[in-house]
Amino acid sequence: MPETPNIRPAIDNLFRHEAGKMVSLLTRIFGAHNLELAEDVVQDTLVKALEYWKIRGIPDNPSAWMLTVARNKVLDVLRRERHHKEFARDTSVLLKSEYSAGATVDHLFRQHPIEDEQLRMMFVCCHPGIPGEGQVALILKTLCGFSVAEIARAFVTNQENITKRLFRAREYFRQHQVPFELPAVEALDDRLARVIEAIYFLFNEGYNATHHIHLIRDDMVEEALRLGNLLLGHEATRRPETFALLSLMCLQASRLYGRIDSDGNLLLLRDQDRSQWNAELIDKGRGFLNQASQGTQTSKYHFEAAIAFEHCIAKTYGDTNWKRILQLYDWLLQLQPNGVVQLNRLIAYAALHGIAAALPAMEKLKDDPALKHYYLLYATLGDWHAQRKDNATAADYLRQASMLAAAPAEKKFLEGRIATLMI
Amino acid sequence: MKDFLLIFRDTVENTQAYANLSPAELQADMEKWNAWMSGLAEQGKLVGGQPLLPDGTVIHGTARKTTDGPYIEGKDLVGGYLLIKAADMNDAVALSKGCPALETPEGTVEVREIMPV
Repeated sequence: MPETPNIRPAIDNLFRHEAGKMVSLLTRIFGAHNLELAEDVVQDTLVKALEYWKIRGIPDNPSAWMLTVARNKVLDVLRRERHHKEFARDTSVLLKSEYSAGATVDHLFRQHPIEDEQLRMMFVCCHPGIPGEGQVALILKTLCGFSVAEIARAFVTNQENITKRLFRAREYFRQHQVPFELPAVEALDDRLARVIEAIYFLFNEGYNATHHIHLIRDDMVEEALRLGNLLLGHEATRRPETFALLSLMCLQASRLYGRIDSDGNLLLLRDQDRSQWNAELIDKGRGFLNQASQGTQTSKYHFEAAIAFEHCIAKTYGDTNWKRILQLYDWLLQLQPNGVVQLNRLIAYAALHGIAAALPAMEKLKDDPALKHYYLLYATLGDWHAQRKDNATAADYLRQASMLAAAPAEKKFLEGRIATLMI
Repeated sequence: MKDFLLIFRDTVENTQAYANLSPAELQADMEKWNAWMSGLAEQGKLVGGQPLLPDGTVIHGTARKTTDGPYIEGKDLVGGYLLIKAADMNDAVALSKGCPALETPEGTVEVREIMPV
């Protein structure tokens, strides 16, 4: 008679999180050039867990259970493939020997905290040979356990596109025998900057994705925070800019739900109910910002976090310290002289000195090729002309903005504004 | 209370489709089973069961001829079994209708009463 199953609720996102851990660990064993093999073994492991657990219940330590299954599958692969494949460079010889494979695999399963392998995986994903969009897709696939379909939905593109990006990345690893390790000290700064950028991109995709189902949006924000925290857990990557990134993400995430009213409509910063902002995240952001400023390095994340912080601590929109924000934008602009920063700087400038003083410069930004399809430029121009009671010009700009906006919630918001101007 | 055996069957294709599900989708499936099994456990009707591997051998009749599976020819892949307690066959069938094995059109749950003394 079989024993009574263990009935307990599954931990949220258990399968996704374990997939991310195991892909990192198995890539460490098989080598980055065998990434697909690692992913296949992890998928088999997850399927086995489901088939077993659905009838036997979830074991006491599901994570250890999966690791044991993965370990046995790794040994099967080594036995099957040892004459056909090279594995991780430093251990390939040991893994190919019948005598040492078991002990070597056990050693690798125990050697590091898995977080270290995930950190290495992040750096491998952000290899300079992989284009930016490929890096982020790869992080989502390997470290976050997202499927091709889920990544495609997150980036509003088709699955074929994502499959291609992932395929090219895996091919690159295979052809160039990319090692599964943190880059050497002299290359670390550059690679860390790429990793941070990829995490911030992930965060923004989640944060701005008002057109997606909430689940994916929240998952991406959560994953970006989790990966950022992984960077803080390692001495080599615990840098001022890492703290600044974490600060910025916490401060932005604190307003995630304040931006939308109960009917799902977008709200402008000046119309948001500030009591809806998450005080705990603001506090965390403040702490990280303090830690970020202990050092000599300043990054764009420092300034952006400091700006977000000023918004978070202003009791009302009217209390906002625009003088300080304008100063921060001036500094940010020196570091990043681009149109988007100029646009945001002008909004702060207008808040301080009035729209009339900022309008000519804002109109000039239309000539910036980088802002040609940036709906927020036209939305801002529309808003400003509306405040100056020039309703016809305002409506024209808002219509242009609505055409450029990708998200239905944004379009709805802009069309709502156009309608009020017509009355 | 009487004892019943539930036998879960599905096509080979449906069983193999798990290989293409994402971790989140696998977890969602897991949670459906979890909810159904919890319901049985709360009513004191869950006894236990085992999942089965897809491969196997069938031995045929007097000639003892053997054939190996999985058995592509139909819906005949048994994924596992479960023993439950129920008041009668109607109760056992009602309990089984919520089983996630029935989430595919081809999935079946066979309900059999275990012969009492």
